[in-house]
Amino acid sequence: MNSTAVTPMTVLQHPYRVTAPGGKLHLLIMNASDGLPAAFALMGTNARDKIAVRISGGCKGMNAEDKAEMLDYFAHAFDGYGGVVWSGATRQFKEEAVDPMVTDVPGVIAAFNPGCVALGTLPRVDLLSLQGDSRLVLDQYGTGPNPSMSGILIVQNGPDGKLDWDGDLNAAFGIMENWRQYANFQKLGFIGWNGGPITYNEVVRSAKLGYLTTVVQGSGRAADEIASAIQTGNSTLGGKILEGSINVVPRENPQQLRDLLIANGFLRQ
Amino acid sequence: MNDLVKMPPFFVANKGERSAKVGLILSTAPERCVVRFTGGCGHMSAADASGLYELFVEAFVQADFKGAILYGGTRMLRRDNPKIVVPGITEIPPLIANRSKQVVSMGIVPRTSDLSFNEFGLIVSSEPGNDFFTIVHPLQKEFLIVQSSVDVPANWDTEWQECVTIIESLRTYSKWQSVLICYNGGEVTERELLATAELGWPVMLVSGSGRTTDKYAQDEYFLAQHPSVLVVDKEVTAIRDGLIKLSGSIPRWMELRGTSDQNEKEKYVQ
Repeated sequence: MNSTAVTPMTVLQHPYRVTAPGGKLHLLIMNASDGLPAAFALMGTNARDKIAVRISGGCKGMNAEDKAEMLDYFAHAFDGYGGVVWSGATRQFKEEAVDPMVTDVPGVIAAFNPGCVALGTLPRVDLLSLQGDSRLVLDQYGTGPNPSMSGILIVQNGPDGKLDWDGDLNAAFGIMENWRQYANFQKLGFIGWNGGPITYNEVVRSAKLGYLTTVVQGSGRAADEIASAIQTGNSTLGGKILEGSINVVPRENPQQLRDLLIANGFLRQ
Repeated sequence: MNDLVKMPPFFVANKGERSAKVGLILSTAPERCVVRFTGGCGHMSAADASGLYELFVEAFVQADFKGAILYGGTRMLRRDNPKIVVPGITEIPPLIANRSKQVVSMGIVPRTSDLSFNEFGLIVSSEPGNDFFTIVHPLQKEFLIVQSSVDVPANWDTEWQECVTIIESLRTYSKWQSVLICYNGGEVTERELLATAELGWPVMLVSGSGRTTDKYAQDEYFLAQHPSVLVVDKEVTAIRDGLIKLSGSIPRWMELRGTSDQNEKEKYVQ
């Protein structure tokens, strides 16, 4: 990392503050049936390098220490990264502090790496509401948009419809494909950490598309199940076929993920 | 089948739609500057068209321009002899792209009538009374055809309005610079020129090119009210220097001159 004084957790010390570059987070809203928004796609081209990695998953079963380690893990693995890093775009809170999730990882990586652009997508699962001191809230649990990202694409099912939590994935994968096909993005990657059925589907989908697809073994749930299936030679999991190439890296050693990224041209040595 | 693969792709949009693909294609240019060409086409005099191509191609090559270009994407052919190309501003970008391989150009074609094919290509306009008809430019690689709807054609203003939309996205979300270059032109050029100047975006008026461009190049009140508008003479070095100044991009040859020319650099880029 570029700074010894700042740690990944200190990046998250102000839960509601916009820490995106320039102190501004663009929110774009699209209907699921719309074409992909040019504005959001163009934000990705602000990255120094034409590469993109999407990180997906969850933190179920992880305690506070695990979550802090997760941030350290990715900060180490992505040191020097200059592409787009993106994920779901929510932020969770606990007692007026950030409850770190995978969705905080892109902002942490971008905070340490000039030239890196953090973006996010989320489905509108409930009516958006302003609460308290005009804080934007996404659902009944107080989930907010993640203010560490330069841009968030909110996908909705019309003005008064609702989507499930995977309602943004077609848009997310569509934008990845647009970057590759029209903007000369040379490398696309996907990393699964923990997570449930949605993460599982994303892993399968990204491997099928030929992205550098990786699961972190030891992070829990879907990522562990996929890692085990691969290591035991199973090509199916829960009735679904694991297609394409999926890499497994251990949670204990972020250097292995880093080496994988370097070997595949996502990072310079 | 191989011939089909080589055909230039084109996209079709209804007016008001924003295309992610078009913006992303333009973003592949090495420099974050988009030049929009507007001005004289079918009604430009032979004198105004004289030396037009060499003038711009040489200026762009000398400026080492490596950005993107938006233009009409069409070619005019004489009705009485379609093998003769009518001179126009839309002939310039393909020539620049041919000389500077890193330039990314995109033709924005308003669908002003039903499209049809003949042996010369895809016809986008064949208006009675004109001694020319218009086809999509055969040397242009990528196009965006814009229509109001399937049943309702667009008008010629649609071209510049679409370009403003694309440029606005590039400027706002991807930190691009833009330069509108006006050469000659009529009423449609005038509306684009005024709209762009009003937005405060950089405009280069080529003095001596005729008609609308000259009208505003000589309008001191207009120029005083719009400081983003630059008037340059109709000659290579003036256009080159104007392009460098407005695009904010120092060409490599100027960088190589070393630190003693810092003052010269500042003269160009403000």
